[in-house]
Amino acid sequence: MSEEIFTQLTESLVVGEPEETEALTKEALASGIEPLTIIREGLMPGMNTVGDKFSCGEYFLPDLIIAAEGMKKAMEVLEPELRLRNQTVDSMGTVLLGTVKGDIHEIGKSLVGTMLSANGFKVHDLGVNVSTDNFIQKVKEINPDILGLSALLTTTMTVQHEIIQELVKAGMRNNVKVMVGGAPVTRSWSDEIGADGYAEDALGAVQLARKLVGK
Amino acid sequence: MINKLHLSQDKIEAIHQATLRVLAEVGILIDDQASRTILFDHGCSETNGRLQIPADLVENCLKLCPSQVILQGRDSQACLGDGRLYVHNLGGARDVYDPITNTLRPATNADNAESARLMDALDNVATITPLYTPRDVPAKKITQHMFVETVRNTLKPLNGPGVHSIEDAHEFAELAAIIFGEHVSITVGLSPVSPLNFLGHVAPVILEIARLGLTLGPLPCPNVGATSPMSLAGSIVQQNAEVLATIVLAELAHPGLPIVYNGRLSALDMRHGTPIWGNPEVGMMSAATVEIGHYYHLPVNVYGLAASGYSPDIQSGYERAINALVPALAGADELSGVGEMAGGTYSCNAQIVIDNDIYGMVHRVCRGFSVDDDSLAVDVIAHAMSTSRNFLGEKHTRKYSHSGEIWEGKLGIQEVGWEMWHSAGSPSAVDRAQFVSADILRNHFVPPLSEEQERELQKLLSWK
Repeated sequence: MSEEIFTQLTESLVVGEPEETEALTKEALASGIEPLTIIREGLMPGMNTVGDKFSCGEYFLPDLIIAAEGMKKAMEVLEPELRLRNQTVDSMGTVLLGTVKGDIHEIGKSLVGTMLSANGFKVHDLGVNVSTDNFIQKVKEINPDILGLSALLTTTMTVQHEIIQELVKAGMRNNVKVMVGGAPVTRSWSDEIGADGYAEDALGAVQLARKLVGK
Repeated sequence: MINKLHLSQDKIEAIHQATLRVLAEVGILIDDQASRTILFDHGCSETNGRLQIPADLVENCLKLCPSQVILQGRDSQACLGDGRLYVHNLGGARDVYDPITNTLRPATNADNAESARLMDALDNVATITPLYTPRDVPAKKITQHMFVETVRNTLKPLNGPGVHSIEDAHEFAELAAIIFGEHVSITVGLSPVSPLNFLGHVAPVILEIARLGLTLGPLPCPNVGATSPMSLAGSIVQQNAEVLATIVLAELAHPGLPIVYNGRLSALDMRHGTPIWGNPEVGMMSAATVEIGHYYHLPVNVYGLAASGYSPDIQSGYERAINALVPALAGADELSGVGEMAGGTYSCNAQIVIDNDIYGMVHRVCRGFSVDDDSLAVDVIAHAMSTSRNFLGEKHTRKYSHSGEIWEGKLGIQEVGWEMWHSAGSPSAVDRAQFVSADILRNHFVPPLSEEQERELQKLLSWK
């Protein structure tokens, strides 16, 4: 019975049916399977297959994003159960993300957030047009490993610099790695403003985040 | 093969009807109180946190828009909607590309001056937009500095900047008045954020532009598969809904406000999550956008030259040429992209000169050729056959040589055989373009603004 439900869980992620992943996760729990076993035997093989298919060019981004949505729904079911058992899933690290003040572009930053979540990071997304104060406040509050700053306009990328300067002023610059992104952002801009790195696409952002947390 | 260029009337009608349904059933996100009051007063409703716009309101507002729009310059003007194709350059590039060293450097305002002066001399660039976002001017006044430096260096009509705040719009109107006098006719761009998002500064800026009476270019930039549907038709519908919603608010605030129907649809690379500009769908969607805008009797401005390549190489060449030609053949009033490189992130003088030639070819294709007794040339054929049996000495040949029957570009073919080309150092199109741009910049100068204008502009630029 459990072998069959693991196969079904894996398959639901691979074909991209998040509602089915959620229902199967509930079913597996109800049949008495341990949450960590569900993750290890059912969900992770699915996510790995999706990742492999993406790497070899068979899958596109929407396949990854829909699979990540299924994984998220499953984890929402499993997390209360994990807490009851005092168990945790290994996290790659915590990332605080947002689009800087004056800029209301969302998709790039959200895509990076999704890809980081799908790769084991815990992501706090502050949304768009986030004030510098709000970024600083949230860094104090949740103490993330990485702060991700997005800007799509050549006119708003300067705010990334402003935020890094504020982190320095508040004496917090060494507590958090800063990665910057967005269409106009380049390596030389990242270097110039004293960020810890930038990437040209969402997958690059995942690699960078892994590097920044040393994993 | 049948003519594939045009959307049939029933397809245009289907796109229009689908758009009206999106506005009336899905609605837009909008939080500005003043805008909401205006829209509610005219029959809009709100469900699911979105404001729905009824079809008859959309149709009525469209009828208020003029079908022609004037763009002003210091010494000339362009009339979008007069049946001609006008071409303008990319706006807001971050860096300058050096084709010799293959490197990038951050743009300065001097690059805006130089590129404007270069384009002022190039025949196929009709209207000019500030090309670069400079790093050597105060960030708070960046749009104003870009515009002033550009207008100092061209007499051609200008496209105004995209504005992101009420203060921006207001200051831009003031500085345009210093340059063009009281009756300013110049476009400003305003981008609703796809999908259907008019939150934050977007709606208040539309109202301010309307109040100032500037020409409005709604400039949504949906990205197929990311911020609009993956089907091209669905993306065209959504873009249309975003433009029409902008028009409704603007025309309610200022009936008769001139509008340029803009389209900026691009695709997403579904392997990396980055936008792609060089695919043929960009040209196809631009052409469709032209046809939709013309269905509403509005002048239309869409992407023209658009490429994914990172240098002015053959990939960039074929991508940009195809993407410019397709919407031109659909009857675009204004096409963009002169100097565009790598999705608009950088530019260089050589690319500008090359693009001037690509648009020369596009104009030539659009111009077509005449078919009448004189051009059918039966008598000329008869004359040649009874004399020299070639046409080089015919007066008919001379006449058509001078009237531009055969196009001649700035870059052309200067060497007439391998040996001559090889001994000239095997110059590429980029080498030639570098040479042409350097030559123009040595010899072409633009009369300055008056001292009075400069004083007024300085006041505005230094004012905090």
